[in-house]
Amino acid sequence: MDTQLDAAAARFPGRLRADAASGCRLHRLLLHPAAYLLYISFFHWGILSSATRFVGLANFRTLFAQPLFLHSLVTSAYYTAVMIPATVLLSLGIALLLKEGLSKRRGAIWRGAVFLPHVTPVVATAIIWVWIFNPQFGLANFVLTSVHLPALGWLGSVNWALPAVMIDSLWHSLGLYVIIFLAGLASVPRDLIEVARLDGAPRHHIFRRIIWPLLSPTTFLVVLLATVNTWQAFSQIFAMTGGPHGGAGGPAYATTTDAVLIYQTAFIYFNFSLAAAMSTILFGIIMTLSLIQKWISDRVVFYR
Amino acid sequence: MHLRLRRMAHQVLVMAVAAVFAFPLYWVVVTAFNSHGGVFSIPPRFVPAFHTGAFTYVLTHTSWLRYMANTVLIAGSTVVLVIATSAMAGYALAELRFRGSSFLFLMTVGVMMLPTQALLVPQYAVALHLHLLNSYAIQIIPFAASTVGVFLFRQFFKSLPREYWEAARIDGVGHLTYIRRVALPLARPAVATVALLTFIASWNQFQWPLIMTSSHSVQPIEVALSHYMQTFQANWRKLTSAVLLALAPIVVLFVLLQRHIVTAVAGRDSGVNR
Amino acid sequence: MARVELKNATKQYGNGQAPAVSSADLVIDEGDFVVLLGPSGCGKSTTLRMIAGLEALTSGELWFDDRLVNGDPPDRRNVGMVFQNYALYPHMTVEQNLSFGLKAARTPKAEVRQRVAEIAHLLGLDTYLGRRPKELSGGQRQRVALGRALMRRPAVFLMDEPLSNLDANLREQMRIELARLHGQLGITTVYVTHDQNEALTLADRVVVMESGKIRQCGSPAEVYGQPADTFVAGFIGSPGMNLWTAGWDDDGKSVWLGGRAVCLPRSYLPVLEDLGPSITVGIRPEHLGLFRTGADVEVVCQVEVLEQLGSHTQLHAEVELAGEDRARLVARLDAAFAVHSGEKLVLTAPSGAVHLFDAESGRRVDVDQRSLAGALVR
Repeated sequence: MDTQLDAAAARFPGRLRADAASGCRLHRLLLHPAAYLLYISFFHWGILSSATRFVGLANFRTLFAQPLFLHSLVTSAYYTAVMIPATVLLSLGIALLLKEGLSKRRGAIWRGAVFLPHVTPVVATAIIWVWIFNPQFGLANFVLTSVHLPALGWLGSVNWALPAVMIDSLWHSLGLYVIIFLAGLASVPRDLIEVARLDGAPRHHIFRRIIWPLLSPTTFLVVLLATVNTWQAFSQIFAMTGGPHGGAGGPAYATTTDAVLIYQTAFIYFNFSLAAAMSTILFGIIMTLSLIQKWISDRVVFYR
Repeated sequence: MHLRLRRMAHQVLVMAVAAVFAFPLYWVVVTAFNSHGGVFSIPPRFVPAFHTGAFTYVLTHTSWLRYMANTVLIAGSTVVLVIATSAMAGYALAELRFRGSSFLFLMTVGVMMLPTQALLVPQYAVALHLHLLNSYAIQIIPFAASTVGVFLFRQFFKSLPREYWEAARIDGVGHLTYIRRVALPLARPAVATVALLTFIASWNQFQWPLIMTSSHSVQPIEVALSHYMQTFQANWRKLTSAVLLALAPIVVLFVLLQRHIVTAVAGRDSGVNR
Repeated sequence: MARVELKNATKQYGNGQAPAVSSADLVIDEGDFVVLLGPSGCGKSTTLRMIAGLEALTSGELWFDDRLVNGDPPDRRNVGMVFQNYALYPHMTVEQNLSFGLKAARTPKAEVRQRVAEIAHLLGLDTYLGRRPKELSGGQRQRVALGRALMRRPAVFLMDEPLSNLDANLREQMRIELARLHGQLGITTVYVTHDQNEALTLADRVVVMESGKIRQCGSPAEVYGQPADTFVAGFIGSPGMNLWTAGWDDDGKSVWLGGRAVCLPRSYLPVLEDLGPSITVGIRPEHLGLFRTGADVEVVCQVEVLEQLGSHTQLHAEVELAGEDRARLVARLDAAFAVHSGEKLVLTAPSGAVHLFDAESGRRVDVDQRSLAGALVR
């Protein structure tokens, strides 16, 4: 079917052919669309029809004239800007907490409990959070009112819809980062910490001067992963506010992030070229952020 | 004494954190089995009742079974394919020296970093043109080659002592025989790891099937749940019953294989005590 | 059984580094037990792997009998190899490990079974055939590795530091086993080690290597008694030979080295005159003894440390050679020898125990005893 594929694979003898072919196929599926993406965004593109014409930057111009698009960028930025520090701080904190108890066999249970949400399907758990955030009967408001705080509108309110989604996201994703931090903490040589303890250093000092610097590669990894994942978060936002439960995109578009908007533009309004243009911008943003982080890490992260 | 208090406080804190994480799942169970009115009571009941009405309704009156079967089929096929391709590719990259092997590997790893979300539109277009929309194939094939899988297998094969292969060479054993009788049998931990990770990822797929499929004959459970959100609107008991059905297999899998899953995600230094 | 010959063999890795093996010429006769000995990085393992076919020669030739085998893959050379880490397949039983190679070559089952039984009996593995490597002790695993290498009746038997992973006692036992095996089977053997004891006890011939070059190839006695250069002299022996480089002069009665430090008999004069103003003198620690009148060679030194080892005393001292920083001396003396640190001492040695080396190249200078005697008469 694919002669180029076969030609590439044919360069390697026998067994290698199969292996090289699977490698090639992989790249096909992932690199090809990336190029295609760039291509589409410069066209006014009827996906089925042949009414495709080159419009240059028109799509992009339309986009930037749309307040909703700019709003979605802001929303995405707001979401990420809150999620990343929260993720790093909370997961590191929990990892430190769990680390002490891990030497006993029982310790594994708690770590398992923290990690469990991460392996669950997102939509399934989003549903339960919608129920928890139900303004009248949900647990969240029940807890708030029992400590004499005002009940909130949560997913129905403009200000609290996105935070509600954040809570669900944090709950779901922290487990992964906790595990990553645990692995990172385990790689800090115990000798260094013991020497410091013998020298009488207080705990927070040990943390700041020894653990934190040695943990920086792990921290960088977590920040990078978290950034890429939160910018692209879709499933839980969609499930909680985007589609089936009404309020597409949240009250006054409060939860319409870039990813959600792309989905809506492409698959609800069938405007593929605009969606492609948006995707290109999203791609660019993420790559830029990754590169910036890489650049920062080269200066700040301490690699042994 | 001071130390003991500290330890106890620490333990309580750990349990509290774990409870916070586990609680919503518990809440699913409670809600699903609650009485009809009990769901809407304030203050809410925390203890599970045993009204199985809603649960059995979901089991019998929806196409839940079909969705489950779809998911199992898709996840299972993906696992098999991923293991086959990743093992081969990983072996090739680790053992065989051919021009461009490190380049290929770098590209493989680099692809892991690509924002997949942004590529959905063109990938949809590709699928459309290949007439693969709304099929099992489109949910399996793109995931049949897994970068993580290739990476894991390569790392594993690289960790095999070079002497195994050299001893085999001296005895005149060829590549294929070596793979068949030495490398693969020893690769069981890697196979298990990749299988687990792939299965979980495939089971939890939502956005991809949402975009690529439209009929319930091929859709997996996550998409099914989003349908149920519309069907069951405010009928929380039925809705959470469906959620429970979707969660149960994964939770059971997790409880049984917890240690392996954690090692799979974090590698050998995750502080797991054997 | 094969005769192995390396002609001008060189192995160069492509990074512009020094060659791992350079211009090695070596002949291994049929049935010989040859040991490649040297410090880490000297090229001994690389040489072995070239013979095995696991590394290709960058230049030069490799002959098995009268066949040029440079281009042959390992299995066509009919060699057997034992690796340092045994390389036993952990998921296979002993029997499966042994039969792996033959089975892969489609040898008929009956023959395989018979061969396995033979080898197992030879190495005392009969009762372990059903076990997996992790159920075996280090020595047993070692024997399985040996067995696997012998399964195909190799023409050349190669061993890469096989005993280094064993503890001291076991190492001695296995050494004796290996010697016995070689006596019984008589296969041409090439053995790599950095341990002198193994080399000197097992070898028919020792090949001392350093930095990719062969320094000396000879019997254990030759390598010990007539080291070809200062490296071999300092490497062989535990501790190695004392080596002092300094200028010499003649005061009419005796020849002095380095001022007034070492006194050599006048009979050495003709040889020394040919060599130039400075020379390197070597004396083994075990040949130095307490002062005896009328001895040929005298060494003046200052005591630093005495080590009482039970069977003997090891003396560490400093020799003041004019112009040199600190020349060290190690002597092996009888036990119960009491002296204090800082004391000056005169040690003596018989003239036959002196080795002379060229001060610049380090190469051995042969001192013909007869010419010495002739000089005396003169």
